[in-house]
Amino acid sequence: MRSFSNSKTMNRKVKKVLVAIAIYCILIVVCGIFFFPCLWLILSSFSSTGSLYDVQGFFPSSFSFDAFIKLFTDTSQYNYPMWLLNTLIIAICNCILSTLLIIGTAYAISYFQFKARKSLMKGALVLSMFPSFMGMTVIYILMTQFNFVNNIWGLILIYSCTAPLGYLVQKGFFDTIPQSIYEAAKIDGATNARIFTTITLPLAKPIIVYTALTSFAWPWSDFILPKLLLINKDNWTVAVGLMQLQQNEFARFAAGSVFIAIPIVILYFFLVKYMVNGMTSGAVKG
Amino acid sequence: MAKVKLIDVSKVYKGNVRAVSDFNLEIEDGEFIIFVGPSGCGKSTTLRMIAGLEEITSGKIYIGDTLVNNIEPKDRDIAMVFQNYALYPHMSVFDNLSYSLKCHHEKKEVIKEKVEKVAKLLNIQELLNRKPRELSGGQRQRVALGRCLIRQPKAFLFDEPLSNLDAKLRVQMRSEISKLHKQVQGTFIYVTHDQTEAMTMGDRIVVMKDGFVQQIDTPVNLYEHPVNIFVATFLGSPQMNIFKVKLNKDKLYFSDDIYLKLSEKTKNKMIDGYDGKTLSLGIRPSDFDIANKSDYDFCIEKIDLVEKLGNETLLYLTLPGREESTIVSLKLDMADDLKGPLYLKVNKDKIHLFNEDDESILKINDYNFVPSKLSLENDILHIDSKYQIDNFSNKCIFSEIKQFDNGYIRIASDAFKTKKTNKDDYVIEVEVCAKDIRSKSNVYFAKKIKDNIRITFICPKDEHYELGDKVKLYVPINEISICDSDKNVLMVDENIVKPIIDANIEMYGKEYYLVTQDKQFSKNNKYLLVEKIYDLNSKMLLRVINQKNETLTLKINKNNDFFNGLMIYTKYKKVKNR
Repeated sequence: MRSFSNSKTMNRKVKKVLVAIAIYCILIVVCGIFFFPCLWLILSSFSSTGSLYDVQGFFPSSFSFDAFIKLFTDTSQYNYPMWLLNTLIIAICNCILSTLLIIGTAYAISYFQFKARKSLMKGALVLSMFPSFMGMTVIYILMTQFNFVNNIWGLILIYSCTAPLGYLVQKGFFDTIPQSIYEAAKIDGATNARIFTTITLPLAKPIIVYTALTSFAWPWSDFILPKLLLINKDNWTVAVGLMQLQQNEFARFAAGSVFIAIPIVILYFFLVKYMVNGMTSGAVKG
Repeated sequence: MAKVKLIDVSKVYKGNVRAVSDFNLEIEDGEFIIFVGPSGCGKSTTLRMIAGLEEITSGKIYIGDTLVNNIEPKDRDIAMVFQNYALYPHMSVFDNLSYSLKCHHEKKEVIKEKVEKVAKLLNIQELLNRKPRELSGGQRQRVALGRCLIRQPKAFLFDEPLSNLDAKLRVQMRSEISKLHKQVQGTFIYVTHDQTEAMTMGDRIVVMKDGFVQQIDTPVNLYEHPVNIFVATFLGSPQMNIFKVKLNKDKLYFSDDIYLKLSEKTKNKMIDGYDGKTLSLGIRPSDFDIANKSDYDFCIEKIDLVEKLGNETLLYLTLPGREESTIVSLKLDMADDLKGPLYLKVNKDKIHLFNEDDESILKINDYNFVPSKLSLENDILHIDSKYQIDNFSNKCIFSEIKQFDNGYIRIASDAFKTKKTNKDDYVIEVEVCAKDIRSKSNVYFAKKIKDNIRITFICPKDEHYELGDKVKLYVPINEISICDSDKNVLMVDENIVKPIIDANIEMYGKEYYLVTQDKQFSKNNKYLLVEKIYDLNSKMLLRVINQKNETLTLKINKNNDFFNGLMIYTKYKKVKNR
């Protein structure tokens, strides 16, 4: 009897290890597929000649930092630092404005019960199903009317105004805050504004960070809208600018792409803990 | 601290779902009141309406002297403990406790002092810097209590605060909350579905079902005098056994040959009209006891199940008149053998009888009907040729009616006095045979000496009688009504105005008015609200209320013009006897 149970436990252990190995193998393959283009881009950015045809197999023929240096020094034709500044302004402004709008929208829809609530939610859902570039013609005409073409503030306006349509994730988060906490605060004598600032916002830290991050990243890498609205070279964003590079400037393109990815990656590593932190635990009996 | 008053409060949700209907309650300052009932009975909704977290559909709620219907929760000055504690998860215990004070802009030193005081009271000084998630269930509960106690609100509301705790902690917190109530002397309103909490903690209990208040009384009174089967079975554990029985004279028949003889007390409680009817009989498990072979009510051949709980033993039996098994609780030695035929008797003073149709309890007789031969002659009322009441016809509108061979005199149970108030008082001598002690009054059941007529009389709390006491009861004449053989009251004790001729009946809203030009009435008194009509052979008597709120009785001949109008009145408005 004892030997039987022993062999059973042994079998179980072996099985566990085998399953783990299989899972890791699959994960490594998937990782490889995802990282290959990335890695290739990074390697290409260190290519000294800069031509796309210079790459032999996976590795470029010779390595140098030329592409990165040129990116910031040779600004006569392609003003990368300017583009970067434009992108940064747009991303930061959008990050602030969109976060405010999205959090406000999501909180209002989650917390207040008003008549148009259901129809508003349905309308937002339907509208958000259309891809944003569907309205490009309209946006362009509107922007010319307001004289906002070729102006990064016009772009910020469009980004932040369309952002609240994507309030669903944030509303879902606010829905998880138990009503009784709000009710307790009301009974404690807090006004709506006080409840929002002292209860809701601190509890919503993770979702605010998430919203800010996505609002920052979206214009950072968006191409279509800036391409449509920004005509003047000096107003370009990085994505638009890089597309205008000549074919023999591939190393420069790769370097620009790598460089612009860095802030996002750093931001992500710093803020990831907020995003996963389940702050509501302990609020109610769990 | 303040009174809380609810008047006709109702809550109807969308889709016409009635959560609470016509809730009326006055909660005294410093009272510990408990709302109890099964899930969905509207108890939490009522509490949330008091807190202001739910809108009121109709009715009025007063906290103190203020009508709070349209006052925001934050301005109602109440405190509430939630079922899931609802602590602010991102704040430390200190901040949780002080949040309400900060909302009311208290000074920092005051806040610190108050928090420390409350923490000491609840024994949570060590936890002030911790976050709620680092606390155990019981500690969180204390913090939630502390959040209430930190200010002096007008009322403390508790929404099932103990239901998330384990059984042992629940018992402990139960007694702690009771102690806190004694310390802070506040008005506590406590919602629970647990009948043990309700029975042990509250000064008064409100039992609710399907949005309706069933009964409001002290725990003991609810247990001993439930108003219906729901209250009877909801309170008490194990719950009361309800049997279907048939009343035959003074015996309750479970089946053709098994019956229970009623005690004097229960017999007196009963209204005579129930003879031969099917009733619901309620017996609490603890009102059974072991009997000897010569004097028993039930002989049990087979016991379905025995549960020994240590201090008591529960027997599950099958008795006639009830499909489910009957639970009997006995104080038995654990070693006692329960095999063989078991003889049981019932404490017959403690049984409860309910109407079968609406499950309400058989009421104590509000009125005593004393069978009497009555005659009325020359203003003198003769009762059974022994008593005579002079000048009676002055008060009687039926001076035409002279003789009642099978009549009754009707006396309200609370009309009896034990001291003479007037020389004309009607006197009855009775012997007390049972009593029922209530919170506000004592109810005695007695027999009239010599002719064994049952009399129920209600005394103030300070008048005590023992069984067998002979009591002389006095009844003021104006409390005596004369009834015909069908127990219809034939007498009203108001003065009669002379017959009127010139009048009309008009309807305003749901009320009928007599509009008269008769000179007996002043100019301002021409509209008289018709309250009641007595239809006699040749005449009609009309009870009306004038604008000064005085009741008048008018006599009219049936050949009058507005007689047809009166007929319409009687057709549409049911006329009840008083």
